[in-house]
Amino acid sequence: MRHWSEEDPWADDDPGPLVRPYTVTRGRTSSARPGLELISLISTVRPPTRDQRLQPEQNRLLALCRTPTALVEVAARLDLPVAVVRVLLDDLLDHQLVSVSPPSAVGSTDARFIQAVIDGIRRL
Amino acid sequence: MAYADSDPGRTALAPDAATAKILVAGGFGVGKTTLVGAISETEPLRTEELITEASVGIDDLAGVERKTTTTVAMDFGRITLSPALIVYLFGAPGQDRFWFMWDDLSRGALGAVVLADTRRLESCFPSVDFFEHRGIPFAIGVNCFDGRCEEDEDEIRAALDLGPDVPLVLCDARDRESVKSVVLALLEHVMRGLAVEASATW
Ligand SMILES: Nc1nc2c(ncn2[C@@H]2O[C@H](COP(=O)(O)OP(=O)(O)O)[C@@H](O)[C@H]2O)c(=O)[nH]1
Ligand SMILES: [Mg+2]
Repeated sequence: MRHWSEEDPWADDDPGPLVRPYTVTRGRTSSARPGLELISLISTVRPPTRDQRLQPEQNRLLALCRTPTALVEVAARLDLPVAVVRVLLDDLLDHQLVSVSPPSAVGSTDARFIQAVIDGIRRL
Repeated sequence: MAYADSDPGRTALAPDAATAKILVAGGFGVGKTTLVGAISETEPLRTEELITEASVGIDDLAGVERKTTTTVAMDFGRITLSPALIVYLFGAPGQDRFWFMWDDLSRGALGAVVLADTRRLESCFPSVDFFEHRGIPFAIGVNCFDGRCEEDEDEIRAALDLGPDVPLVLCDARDRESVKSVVLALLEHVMRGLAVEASATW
């Protein structure tokens, strides 16, 4: 009986990639930045400077997120897996080209918040 | 670079707008995507996630895990209730081998609608089990295909072994008003749960 780690190059101290490394991410895989949920809103803060060399997907992301857009919707609209978008965002966050909505605004389950959702859906 | 507006029809949102998540679970073909589309402001969007199955723990034999890559699709839709409040509805298959995805999906969710089809009620059993065990509030939406809802509510409740407090709403997943009533039944149930919690701490 062989354990998969015997033949797996990622197995030493890494539980393994969540997705197959993509050329888009230059082989990097998600570092799962905390506070980056499926429904976190991503907003473009400013355009990149000329010396910031971005990938085409990152430029598309910046164009899309001029309107704040949830992480999961960025993935759907760029036709990339969520894990790949997380990697693309890593650089953009480092360069402060995008912002992420604060954790307190994401998936709150307090009563006032839920009441606001109820009222909003009633009015639809 | 060209900064053309990607979606000029969209409401201007605040970058710090609050976002909420509601789940839609149930067996294959029960109407999850239809329901999400009926209440969302856009056609349901879709992402395909690649997952290595080693993380699923599909194999119970100790130490034996195989890594294969699987694609799982999830649908979602958006409802902008105000520039400061947006709700996302996520539909994903309620099948045992996808539960690892549901763990992720259910983090921070308000609750779940479990869609049921009376012709094959058993297809929603795994979803009901999942939300019960995780203590995630849920409501049952019985999707009445072509008005076929001759079953008695009490019979469905008994078949699903539902607690008396779990809302059960007959619905048409294609109809916006009908879908609203299911979602509202869920959210009111969530509110009642919070009230009970609050009174228990006093
Ligand atoms: N007649 C009828 N058809 C429905 C209803 N809800 C869904 N359908 C159809 O059933 C099929 C499966 O629905 P879908 O939403 O894709 O199911 P999912 O697999 O749960 O996402 C589609 O062809 C829908 O058009 C309904 O309430 N009445
Ligand atoms: Mg579907």
